[in-house]
Amino acid sequence: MNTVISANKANCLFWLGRYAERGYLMLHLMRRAYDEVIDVPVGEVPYSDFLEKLDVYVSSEFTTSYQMMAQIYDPNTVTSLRSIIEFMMDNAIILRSEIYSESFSYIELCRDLIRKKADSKEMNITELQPITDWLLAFWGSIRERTYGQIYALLEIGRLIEHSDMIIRFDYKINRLEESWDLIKKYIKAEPELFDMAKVELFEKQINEKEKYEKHDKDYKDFILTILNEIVLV
Amino acid sequence: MNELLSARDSVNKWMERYGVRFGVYKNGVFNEQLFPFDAIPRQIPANEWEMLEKGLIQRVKALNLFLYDIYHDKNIVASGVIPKEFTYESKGYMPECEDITPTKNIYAHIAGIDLVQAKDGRWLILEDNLRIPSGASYPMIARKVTRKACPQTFRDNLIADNRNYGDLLREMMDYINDGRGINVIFTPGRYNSAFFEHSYLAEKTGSVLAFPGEIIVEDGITYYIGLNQKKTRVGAIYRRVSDEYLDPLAFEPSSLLGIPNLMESYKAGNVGVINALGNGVADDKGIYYFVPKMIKYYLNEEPILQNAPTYLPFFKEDFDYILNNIEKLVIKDVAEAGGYGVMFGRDMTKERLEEVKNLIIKEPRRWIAQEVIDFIDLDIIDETGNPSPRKCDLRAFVISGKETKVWKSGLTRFSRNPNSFVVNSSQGGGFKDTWIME
Repeated sequence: MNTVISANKANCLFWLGRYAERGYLMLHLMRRAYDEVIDVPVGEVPYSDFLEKLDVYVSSEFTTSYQMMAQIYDPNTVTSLRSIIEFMMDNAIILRSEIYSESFSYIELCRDLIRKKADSKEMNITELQPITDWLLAFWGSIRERTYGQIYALLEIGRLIEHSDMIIRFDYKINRLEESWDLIKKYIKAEPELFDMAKVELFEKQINEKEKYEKHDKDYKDFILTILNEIVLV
Repeated sequence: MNELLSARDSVNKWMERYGVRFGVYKNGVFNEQLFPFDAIPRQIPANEWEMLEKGLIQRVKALNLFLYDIYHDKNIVASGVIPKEFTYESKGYMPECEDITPTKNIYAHIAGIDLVQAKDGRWLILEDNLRIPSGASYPMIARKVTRKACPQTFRDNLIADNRNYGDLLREMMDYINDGRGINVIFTPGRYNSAFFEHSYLAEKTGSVLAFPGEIIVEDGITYYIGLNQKKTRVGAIYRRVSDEYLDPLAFEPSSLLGIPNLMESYKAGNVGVINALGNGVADDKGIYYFVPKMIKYYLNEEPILQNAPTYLPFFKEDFDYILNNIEKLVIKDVAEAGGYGVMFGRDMTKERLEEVKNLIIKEPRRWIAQEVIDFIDLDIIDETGNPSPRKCDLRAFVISGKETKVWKSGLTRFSRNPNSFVVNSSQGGGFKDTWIME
């Protein structure tokens, strides 16, 4: 297996890792929101909190689960699930020789399904379950077939996105610390992939646990910005 | 056969899952589409293959000798076997390649030779592709999938394994590389029609898939630029970029795809380029006519495989024949490929025939004419699920490294419509696996 990778491929590996994690977590969170909306009183706008956290435009017209589903198929919204899966493919397509056809095939399956479901205007979220299954299989295949810097870049992407979603969705600080500890292993192994000043700044900030627990918006925006600038690819 | 037919949908789904596609530009818009796969393979008996193998090796050896000659001694022109109009005036001839000897003196490392089988059983050569022949990846991956879906079929039949194409390529690339550095496959990018093939072959040969901008030349040495600008020396480039776009400082200056100064590195023998530059002079449709003569001239052998009967309007006798019989001939523009520029006399109106005659009169060197070969039909399973005959050709792949070897398989392409003779994927055709029986 070739292990020499260009800057562009390194960037694609990192972003493939991020988008695969974003797609997986987004579906997970959507299933939760889809369930919660059943109990939202008539007249209230459901999902607004959920969609805002994903930087999705919130319209007062979103009043049913079905309208939320329409939103995730929108090819013109960069944060829609469909766009995320298309971005996964944009990165994966040039990485076949690094990740192998077997891993690539799971991304292809996700893309085919989201396109088909968008075309048929599928409004039942259970029909998207295979995407979750394939993304888990994708990571299994990656762990089986890749190693060294190729694996590291994918995994760094996954962990950065994971941390990003933890912050956005106000998960407990210990979840962020666990994720950060895993990132630090890669910082130690592949220091040239990281901006060390940003790494130090991020670590300092997340040690301020009180601010984190208070869900201070400015603080969270700040640490999200740092987190997204840590990796140098 | 029943197992193959019942697994048809399953095989196609697996191909879709692996992203077995090719890109097409229509009205300036890029679209990827599946390359339709038909489950019924072409079967070639062992004795027939043995003859094809010998004939193909003979042909490619002669073409390699021709390429060396044309860029060095030019004996074949001096001795009058091939008129100079078919060499130095060919669009594929590159004066920049004069006196350059590629690594190990091999020009056509990967030759895609198109053949058809006539109804009387004879195999005839239709075309030689010595620049960037594509298509091997499709039967390669189809076989991988079909073996999984139809294990009993492969247990019951003695079929040569074709999954070694990646190994054949790698062996040849290593031979050309000669330990100088890494092997790369150089693609124009993901929007190239054959991008699936580029990426799949990189995977199967363990080569780096390099994109424009990722290879540089410094002091005559070719490098791949890795992360953090780390330079890794390149020993062999299997380029999937046309000659004219390969080095903007030597050829087309506006090329954004090319590698500046690659020609300098190639000329100095510091990097192997697969296939060599300048091969277009040998796969020009006009030069095709002369290949049997090349075989006699360079190898002193009788050609084992024959060309389809071909006429060159450049010669007076052929010119008269073409003008008098145009309605039963197929006329081809020597500068076109991919099924473009092919005109069947029988399908043209009187007015159009006259127009084409005038084109031939005006530029006789630009055209060739061939008898329409009634080649055999092979059944495909059509949209209704029933067998339906289609015209099929075969692209055989000949790999020249330390030895010249023919891949024991090939791309069998079939026409989209029952009455069409055009099998190119760009014209809507599909493909079959090719089984060489043992």
